[in-house]
Amino acid sequence: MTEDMSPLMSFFHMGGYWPYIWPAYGVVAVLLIGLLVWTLVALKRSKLELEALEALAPRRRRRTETSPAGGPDDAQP
Amino acid sequence: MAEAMASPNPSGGFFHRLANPARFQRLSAWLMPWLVLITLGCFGAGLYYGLYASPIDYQQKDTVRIMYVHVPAAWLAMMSYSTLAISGFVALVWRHPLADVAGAATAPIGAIFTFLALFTGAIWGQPTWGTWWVWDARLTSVLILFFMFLGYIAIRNAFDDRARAGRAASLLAIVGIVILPIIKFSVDWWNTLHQPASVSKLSGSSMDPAMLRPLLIMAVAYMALFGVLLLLRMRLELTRRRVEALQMARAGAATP
Repeated sequence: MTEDMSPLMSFFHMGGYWPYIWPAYGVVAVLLIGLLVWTLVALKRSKLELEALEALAPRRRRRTETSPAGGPDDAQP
Repeated sequence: MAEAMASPNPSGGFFHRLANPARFQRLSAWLMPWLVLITLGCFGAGLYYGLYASPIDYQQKDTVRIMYVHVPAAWLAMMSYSTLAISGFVALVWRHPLADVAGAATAPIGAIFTFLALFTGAIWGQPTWGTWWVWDARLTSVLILFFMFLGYIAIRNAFDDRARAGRAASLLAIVGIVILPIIKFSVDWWNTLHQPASVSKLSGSSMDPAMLRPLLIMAVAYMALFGVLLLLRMRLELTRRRVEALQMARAGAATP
């Protein structure tokens, strides 16, 4: 069977081990690209959120930077 | 270390200094294009050599090609854990806010690389060993590493107080560093089905250069991608904390 295959076919055939090799490479590609895309989407979203917040209170932003602590975090036991 | 941990007011003020991490953003913006370039170039070359322009193994035949995605994943899993432990140490001892951010950013990346090492290893094990999984020392210790990344993420999400969560997670990361020598030497200390080291040995690598080439190129590609992901996730973490601080400030201003 391997004798009369085109070069492209025999490349995908991987000497008969294609059911192992391609899923291994596939999972690596899907998860690594997936992690990258997920990170980029989340980054975009939180940047938009930050911009919206800063547009809401442009002056308050300066104050929180210089004020010591503050916020409900400190009220916790 | 104990002194730093016993600091009376850990949650207030500390993270507000993150407000303007300008130096990190500048460095990250400068590094990013280089890392992306290395990632793309090395993945291109690594896949070409790994899948096509490299010989088959006389015993394993074509399955040896799984090595080029499996071994770098395992290396990166361990490198990610080192990053986690070091950033945990720096966060606890010097209270460097960026170290805490780096730890939080690394954990999901490390979990993915560890999962990939386990998964591709299982796929490689079936045709070469005749089994997807064995409870041998190397495989089991890497599985534990995977659960340690998950545990780290769980601890970070378990506390409402971000600073406390960060300290608990950092402590886990530091204590857990013992897993790294166990993984590294598991193939020497115990009788394992997993093969012993063949790349990093005192006597030099025992691997054919034609196979070593794609392996090392893929390792560089993985490392560069790790850098890209780490920088992006650190930016994400910083933006999220900034959003949180602003929301808190708004809530505080609304109810004086």
